[in-house]
Amino acid sequence: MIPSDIRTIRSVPKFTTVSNHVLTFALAGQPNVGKSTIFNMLTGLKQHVGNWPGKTVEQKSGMCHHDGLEIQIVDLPGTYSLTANSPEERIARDFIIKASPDVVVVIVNAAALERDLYLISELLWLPSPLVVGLNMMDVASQQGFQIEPHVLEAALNVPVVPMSASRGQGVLELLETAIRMAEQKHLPNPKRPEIREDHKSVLEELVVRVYSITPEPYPPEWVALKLLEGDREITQLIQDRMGADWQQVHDILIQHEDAILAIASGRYEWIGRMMRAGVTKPKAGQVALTDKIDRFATHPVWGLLILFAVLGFTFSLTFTIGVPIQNWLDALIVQSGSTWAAVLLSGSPAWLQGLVIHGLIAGVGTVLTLLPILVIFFAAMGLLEDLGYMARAAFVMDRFMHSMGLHGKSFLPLFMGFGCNVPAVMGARIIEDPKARLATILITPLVPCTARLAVLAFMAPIFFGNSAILVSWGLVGLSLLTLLALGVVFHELLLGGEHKAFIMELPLYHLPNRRTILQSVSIRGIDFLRTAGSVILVMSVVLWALSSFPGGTIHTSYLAGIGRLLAPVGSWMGLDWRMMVALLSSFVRKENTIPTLAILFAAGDQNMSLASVLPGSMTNAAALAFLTVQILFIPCLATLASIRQETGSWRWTIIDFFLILAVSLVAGVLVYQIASLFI
Amino acid sequence: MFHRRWFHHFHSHVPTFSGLQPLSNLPPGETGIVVKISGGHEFLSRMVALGLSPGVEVTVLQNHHHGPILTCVRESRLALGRGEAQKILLQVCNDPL
Repeated sequence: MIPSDIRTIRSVPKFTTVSNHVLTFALAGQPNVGKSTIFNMLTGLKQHVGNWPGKTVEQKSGMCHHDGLEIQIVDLPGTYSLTANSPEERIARDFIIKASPDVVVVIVNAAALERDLYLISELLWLPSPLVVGLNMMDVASQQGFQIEPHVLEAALNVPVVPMSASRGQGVLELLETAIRMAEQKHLPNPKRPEIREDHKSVLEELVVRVYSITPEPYPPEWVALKLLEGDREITQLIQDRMGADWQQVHDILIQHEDAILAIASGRYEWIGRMMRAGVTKPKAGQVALTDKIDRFATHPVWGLLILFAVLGFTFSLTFTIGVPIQNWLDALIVQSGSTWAAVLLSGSPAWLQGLVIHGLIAGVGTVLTLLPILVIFFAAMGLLEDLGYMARAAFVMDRFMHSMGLHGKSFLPLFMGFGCNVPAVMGARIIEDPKARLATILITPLVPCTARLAVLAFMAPIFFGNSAILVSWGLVGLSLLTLLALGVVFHELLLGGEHKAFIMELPLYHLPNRRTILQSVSIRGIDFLRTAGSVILVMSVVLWALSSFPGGTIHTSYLAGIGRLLAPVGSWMGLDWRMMVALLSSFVRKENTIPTLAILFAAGDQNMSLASVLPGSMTNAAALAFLTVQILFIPCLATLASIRQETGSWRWTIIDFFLILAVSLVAGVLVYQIASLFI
Repeated sequence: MFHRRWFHHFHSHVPTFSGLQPLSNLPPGETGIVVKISGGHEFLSRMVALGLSPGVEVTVLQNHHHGPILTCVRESRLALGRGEAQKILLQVCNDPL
């Protein structure tokens, strides 16, 4: 059966520690601090990837073994603070409060410590003991920062471990420090930030009022602080529990509506003290390398040129290296595999041979021949991400993607879709916002991939001669316009037309780390093989059965039957059942269109005869309609399987499937009806 | 016109102040101090978490009439949409020549 729920099976959300021998560490941190590198180093490939219960936010957890201890490491979503502004922030704080991990390991970027200390200033109010991983020490010293971890440790009264995770330094020390903290009975009191002087009394008053009604694991001081900050979730919680008494608290809060600034200034004052204690900033006027590069990389004109050069290079790399390997694998596995299978199964019934050769081996072939392209593409994406360039690309493209309601980051995977839709769908992982990511994934199939362009390039000249180029460009344009339109539709549907605020941090550029990239490539590759791969394999067998039963040929098959059923729809486009079957067969692989037509129209000489037979079998208007449907048609099996894998939802996969099917058929009918008037 | 250094620069003299300006109005190279952030609690708390709190110095790195704006705040580079940048009011540090 199709493993429909692999994702949910793999994601056993653990909100409580199971046995006494298992420690739980939560890994917290702001974005761009190298947290995922550290998570990968601690857990290796023993990771569980799934969603947080009831949320579309990815949950990663893994086991780490050290000194006979078993430690569960839960990677909290990267967040700048712990207010309830986003699902990520809610998840992070809920986990710390409700699952009370033995230690919260917070990773900070030593080169942006002033900003990163903000999260620590919030975490210090939560009950779990804290260990600070002061990461990117190497980058910070390159930038001219002088940091004294011991002084910082003394100032915070929390263990601080200096590290450069991308060089493999400090990870073990971090782990050992965290274990020590977990086993310690009496923990030192950390030095917490306080609210600005003028709001101290109101905070104290609130603590007194909420003390008795604050439900268990919530710390009352923290609750009072969150009420003053105007945190919606906590406000609701306390309002529900207080009943009639709420009005008084509410009045206090209204009176101190600006308290959030007093809290913030208290935190930044505390941060200032920490910075003065442990950090010497670089001398003024020292222009960092990042700023030198950004002068061009984020410029509206230079930035675009650099982006297209980078993309062009990635693209050509993927295809100059990937395609030959693909062909080699195809010859090795599909062709020689088929030959061997034919020999081995020579005595067996024809259906068994068909099943093995055209079902199983062809399915494995599809999966394996996609791998080289995916691996190269993931490596390129991983490199650009680790280098820090991805955020710049998003910055440059945001002005264009904004109109669709999409994030600048959506551009990269969409562009890659011209090569192949599968890596494009998987590449959408770089978009953090789950809804924006979903919208991007759902419109990706409308980017015409090389396989569809090849069919277009083959058929357009047959019907349109010299105007073929014009027709081809027109159809590609139509496809992109449809993508735009669907983008707007999904934007309305998923985000309610709301324009997501564009707020993004551009990380410092730094030398990419081989291990980080290899790890992300292998994790994604294995994910593809495990989830999408099995769907592709099963569906290949199903589709083989549909196209060869009953009767053993496509002419008499169920597929032909479905094609005949669809003939009425075809007739609105001037297409007969054979053209409909050709479209259906493109579901397996987009390249299949041509060989299927060759079989259906003339079983003899393939391409030559097709070119001579086709023009006689339909009008030019019908041919135009066929090409329209073909370029917009439902995503191929592999793309569909990866959409299922990446969205984690059959519902959205099916909605997308039928929506694109309907759009392509309607477009085909319209094109035929209009074109018939002119051609 | 000469090209201004667009990195963090400290003035040897006391800067003079002119009126409040939204961040979106500042040309690249200009530095200002955040005075007020309009646009509700949620926006305010997000900005504060990113380091944009009243009193902090912001330098504009890229701003080209259209599209997002790149700034430098507390040693990190922060990109903001034009709409968001309009809600942040700054006291501009004028550099009298």
